[in-house]
Amino acid sequence: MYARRAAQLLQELSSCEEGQLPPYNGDKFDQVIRECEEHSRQFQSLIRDKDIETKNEDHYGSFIHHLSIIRNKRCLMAYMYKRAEVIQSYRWNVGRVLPREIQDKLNFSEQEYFKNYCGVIDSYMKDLDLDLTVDMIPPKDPYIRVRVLSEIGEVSLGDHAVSLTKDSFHFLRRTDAEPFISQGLMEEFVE
Amino acid sequence: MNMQFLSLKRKEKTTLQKPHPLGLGLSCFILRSSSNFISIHGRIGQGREKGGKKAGTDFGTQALKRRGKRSFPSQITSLPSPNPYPPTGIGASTCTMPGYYDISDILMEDEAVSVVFHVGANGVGLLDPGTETNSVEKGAKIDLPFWLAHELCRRRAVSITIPSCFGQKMKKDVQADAACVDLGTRYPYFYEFGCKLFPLVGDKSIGPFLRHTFASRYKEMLSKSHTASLNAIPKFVLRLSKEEYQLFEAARSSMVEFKKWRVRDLGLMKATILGHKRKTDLH
Repeated sequence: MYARRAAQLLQELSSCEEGQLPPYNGDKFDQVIRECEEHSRQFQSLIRDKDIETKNEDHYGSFIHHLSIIRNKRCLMAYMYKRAEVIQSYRWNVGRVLPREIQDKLNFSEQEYFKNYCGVIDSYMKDLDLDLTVDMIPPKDPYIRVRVLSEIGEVSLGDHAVSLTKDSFHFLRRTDAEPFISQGLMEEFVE
Repeated sequence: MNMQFLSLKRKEKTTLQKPHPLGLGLSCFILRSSSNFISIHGRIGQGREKGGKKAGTDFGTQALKRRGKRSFPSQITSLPSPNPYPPTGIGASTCTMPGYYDISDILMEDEAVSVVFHVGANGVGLLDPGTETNSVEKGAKIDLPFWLAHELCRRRAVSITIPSCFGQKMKKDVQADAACVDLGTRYPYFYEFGCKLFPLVGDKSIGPFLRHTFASRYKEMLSKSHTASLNAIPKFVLRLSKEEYQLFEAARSSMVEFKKWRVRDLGLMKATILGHKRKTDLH
């Protein structure tokens, strides 16, 4: 009661590293909402048929319940907001497709949020005819040597098809290799 | 032939007398950090005079804004700022107070303070574990979370007693040796909490006390944070409060950027002038 559970939710969130998320704690979230309903019931019972101006003991009790509801609301909103921010950063840092471990941590509605956010960014980039998710600093070399980590198969890059079998080395254009590197399927081969 | 050779050597010596450019840069950097300290100092002083203007969370961003012209690469502008949320939404676009969504502010307000109720309150028996009826009596002494105590104090329903972290024992500890006081584990939100508590409690000495504590601790922290290694966490970091830790991280990341800047475009080659041995002056 009195926003202690909500504070625990936020503790969980803040104890993670920057840019990482803990799994969505739906149970605690629902418990906090039930607490709010309990506070609301108590509030209703205290102000029933009372004159609002008289500052008697019921008034202060109801005020405390009201403050608790406001506080719970603030905690839950901050929780959702922080998670939404991290999900947004995933689009820019990780890419369009999220790896399995990250997807497991997201709620269903958060996954929908991610899809919609990707859609918005893509339509914006299409209007500008500019890809904003690439590096700001142009690389020294347009080509890059890569080593394939897991089996991808036949991929057509530009005008020719490349067969990307496991542990094979290729000399590809950087823009072609980057989506695979961000998904973890390839790595840059540095001598 | 020998004379020519000697004169050549002398010329080489004089070119080596130029001051090392990196040494200059480092001393500039330390000067700037100490000017930041003075500006932070000024902000806490403001807090004392205006009685409650918040100076707590804003050390990093304000200090960065005051840096003005820099001779260092612009990567230093990407230092972490205390308020992790971009200024959008409720209450954060122009003011420097922590926003509605600021998690560290929310967690800070969860700290417990002891209050004395001036009025009774019905229906909130869970606040007081010792009560039988579902209400709190007038004159009861209870521990409330700060957000609740703050609001009730504004409406004069309770009065807040000063918590132990600003009491006599703490003052004695700080006077003995401020840098050794363990704020990290006991009171991680020491400064912010003090700034928020200050207008609600009658004690006027909390403001100067906070400033004095911060000033004494900053001296040691400044030198240690700039020389701290990247991987190992020095023991004194565990004693820092949250705001001090952000300053520490800012200093550490700026040293990393500085080191990167030193070797930019040179690969890993040392400049040849650094390899020259200084010949002793025979005259």
